[in-house]
Amino acid sequence: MSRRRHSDDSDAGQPHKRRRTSEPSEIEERLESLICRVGEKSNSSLESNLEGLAGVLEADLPNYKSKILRILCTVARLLPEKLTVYTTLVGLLNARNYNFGGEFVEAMIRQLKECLKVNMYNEAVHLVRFLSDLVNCHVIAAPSMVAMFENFVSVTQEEDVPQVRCDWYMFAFLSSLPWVGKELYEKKDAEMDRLLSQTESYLKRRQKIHVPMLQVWTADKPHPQEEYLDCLWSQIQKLKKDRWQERHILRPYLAFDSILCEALQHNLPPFTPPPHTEDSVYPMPRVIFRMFDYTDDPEGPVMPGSHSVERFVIEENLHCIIKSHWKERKTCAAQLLSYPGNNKIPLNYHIVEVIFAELFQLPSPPHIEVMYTTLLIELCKLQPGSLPQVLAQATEMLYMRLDTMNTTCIDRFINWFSHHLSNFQFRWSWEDWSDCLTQDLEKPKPKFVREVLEKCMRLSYHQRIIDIVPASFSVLSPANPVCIYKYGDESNRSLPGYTVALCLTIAIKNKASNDEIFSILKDVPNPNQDDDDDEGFTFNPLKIEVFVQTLLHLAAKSFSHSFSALAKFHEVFKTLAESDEGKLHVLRVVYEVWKNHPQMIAVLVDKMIRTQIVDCAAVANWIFSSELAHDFTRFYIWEILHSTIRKMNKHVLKIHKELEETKARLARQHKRRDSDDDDDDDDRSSDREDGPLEEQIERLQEKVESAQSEQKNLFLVIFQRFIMLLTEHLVRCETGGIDVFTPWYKSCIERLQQIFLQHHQIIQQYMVTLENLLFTAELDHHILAVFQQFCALQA
Amino acid sequence: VGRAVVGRAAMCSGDTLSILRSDSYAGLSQYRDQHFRGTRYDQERLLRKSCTLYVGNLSFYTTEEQIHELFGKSGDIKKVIMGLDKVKKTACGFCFVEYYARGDAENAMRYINGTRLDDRIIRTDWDAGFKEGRQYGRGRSGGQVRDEYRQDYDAGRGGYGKTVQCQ
Repeated sequence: MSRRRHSDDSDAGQPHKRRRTSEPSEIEERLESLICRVGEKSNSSLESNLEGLAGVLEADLPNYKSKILRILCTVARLLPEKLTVYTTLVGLLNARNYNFGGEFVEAMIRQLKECLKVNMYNEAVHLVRFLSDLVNCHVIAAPSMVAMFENFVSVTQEEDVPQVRCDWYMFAFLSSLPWVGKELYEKKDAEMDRLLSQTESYLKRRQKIHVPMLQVWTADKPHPQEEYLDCLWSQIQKLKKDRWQERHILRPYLAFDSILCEALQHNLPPFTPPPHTEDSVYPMPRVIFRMFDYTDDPEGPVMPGSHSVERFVIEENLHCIIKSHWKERKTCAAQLLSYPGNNKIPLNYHIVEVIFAELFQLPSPPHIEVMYTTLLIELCKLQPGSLPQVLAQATEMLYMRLDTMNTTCIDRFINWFSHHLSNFQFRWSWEDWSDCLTQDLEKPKPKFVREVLEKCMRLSYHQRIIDIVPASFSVLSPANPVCIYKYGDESNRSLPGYTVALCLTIAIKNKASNDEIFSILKDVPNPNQDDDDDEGFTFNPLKIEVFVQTLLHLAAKSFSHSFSALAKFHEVFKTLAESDEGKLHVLRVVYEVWKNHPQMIAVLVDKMIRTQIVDCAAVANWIFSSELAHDFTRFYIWEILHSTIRKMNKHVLKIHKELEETKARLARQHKRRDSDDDDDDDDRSSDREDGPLEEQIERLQEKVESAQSEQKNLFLVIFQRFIMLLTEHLVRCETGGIDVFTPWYKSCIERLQQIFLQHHQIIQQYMVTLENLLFTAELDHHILAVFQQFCALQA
Repeated sequence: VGRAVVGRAAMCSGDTLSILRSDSYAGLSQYRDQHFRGTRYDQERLLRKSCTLYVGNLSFYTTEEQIHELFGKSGDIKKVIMGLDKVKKTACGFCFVEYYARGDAENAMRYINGTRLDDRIIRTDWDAGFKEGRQYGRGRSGGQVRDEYRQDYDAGRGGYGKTVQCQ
């Protein structure tokens, strides 16, 4: 009894204790939530919310200063779309507590240095912009901000540094000016003029070889695809001409001007840009994607011009919203649609343009492609009366400009459009596109429609596609995806191998083993040699033909059936495809059987690589072989090639990871041994412990080297074949006096570009080999240009 | 590169905001397979590292090929296992999709769940992993339980529910 009472007492004490230990993290969560939610839809005005929050935070400063500092620095870095909300908040805090303002600025500078050290350049830009807007909030003195920008711009004077480094510092300076240009110019116009003229001369002398590789369209009409710094410079020049009057950005601090102008400002410490190192990786240059202008929505609000700073700010903010909420599609759509000022700008058009800008971005979209499809569907759900029409208008415009659209971007357009249609019962006004029916099937428009219909079929079934298009479109409709079995008909009985095929069919249906299959195949003569070589299974194309045709035909019912067949007769496959010629022939036969069903070809090739029936180099050689020339420009071929390269890359990464993990295990083992073992006599036993691990590491090291060599070889084969193919075409055109620029050529040269762009990180490792072995000065300048553009990307 | 990457990871993991961490589509649902052999704890542990998704509300006519095409948009698929009527051994409107990488399965949960396949809104959910026998419907008539008792007419799922059909 007394014990219980005792425990009652301690129970009474416990909740207290529990509350005390969990309090700090609860408070931190509450603070973070309060700070993050300010600026969202509320019954009170933004100004009163900010004032209230400033009061709460000021009161919490004595106990939670470091947490508040951390949260504010983080929102500065990660919520750039709410930049001015938070600079106002910091301004109010600084007005109430000068020391806190100083500490915040110091923390921001520390964070900026960290970001630059670890190559987080996109987030660093947000920090710089935040600091510059703090000038507007009387937290930072304008002259010290100008001084920082002077240090930024002076990076352009550095020698032997990559252009992309100078580009970033220039971008950080210029892209802050929409927010702070007016204030800085008012306080330090001479210095600003000097900076702007230094900017102009840098932009004039920087090289732009990389631009064609990153443009979505090769034509300048109706909208030029400008390099991002050129576009921004035009926007800033126009802003300056407009006397720095900028009316789009929401500036909550204006309402607090009387309070803020009383505050004492801080000077930014002198900021030296960290030097360039070997590990520095700067952002890639970009091309600004534009597809709309004010003429596209004549009845709505006027769309800001391409060189207006408003356009820049809107696009930046919309991109930031997507970056913040990409995982939450409903939130993302809602946040996009509630972008402030949405009755003064044609918001739907901006949103659609920004989404397509990301989808079509070269080298790759910032997020997985399927996200954009689903985001657009969510947006259509939220704005059913307006957004679908804008999307339809956009689709129509993209279709009209297919002739000059980059092939990789066309791929993405095909994937997006077909997937989108599959969510809307494939409803589309196909007749509007009848113009493509009279064109050569290899031209971009009919090609696009064919590929779209093929993808639509993959998401449904053949008859559905026949039903949804007008009869006139049948020439573009996909083939019925049926298997072609050459030994199927009695009329084929004169074909060599026919009887063996029949035999095999029966045997497989009767669940024959691999050995039985081998013995049946023994009877197949080898058309390549006179005497049958029974010793080993040398390359016998007829054996491969009979076996693969028959098996694939029997397993044609579904992917699963085919995969089971590959698994069951893996041994036979491995033996028949042992040589390089064998591998190539297997692929050829797979194509012959399934040429009506490209999807099946893709999954079979994938499975055969994963089960090591064929290797990546064989697939590359097969794709460039003459048998596939007819399908060379079809989308599925490039899906297969890029999927093959990705598998190779993932394989190398996987083994590398295994190696690192094993090395780490060994290091831990050493540490354990060293820490608790002082006895020298135990050396031998500890060697024995190391043995297996060290052996493993050696083996893995070899595996890594061999995988890396296979990977390099794959790229070299691909580049070599491209060069051969393109050179052949160029020579033929030259001698025949015909124009080089056929649809085939455009497609092929852009496919070569695509290899560089999609795998640029890996290919960077091979630059020396590529320069000395393949992309030498003797090469035709058309082909060499692609290589030079690629080199310019990180130069 | 190694050093810079480590620094980036250190910076990112500590310093983010919970509103940006939100990933509601990729989380576990309320559903737990009642036939799972093991503790609730084991089940949730498996669900949280699974690369396999259950896909429901398919049409009986939806093929493995269609599923492969759609779900292939979030990454490389390791295997598709069609759900079958236990008696008829024909498709009965669900399947399992297994990816090689969990990240690809997460993207399917974020962007393919709740969109259409064969004009039907399909639903995906985490699965603890395929085991032989789980490809069969658990309804009394051989199909899925939901098709036993439903009252509506669904042309893609055999018409009326089984109990309605038997009336």
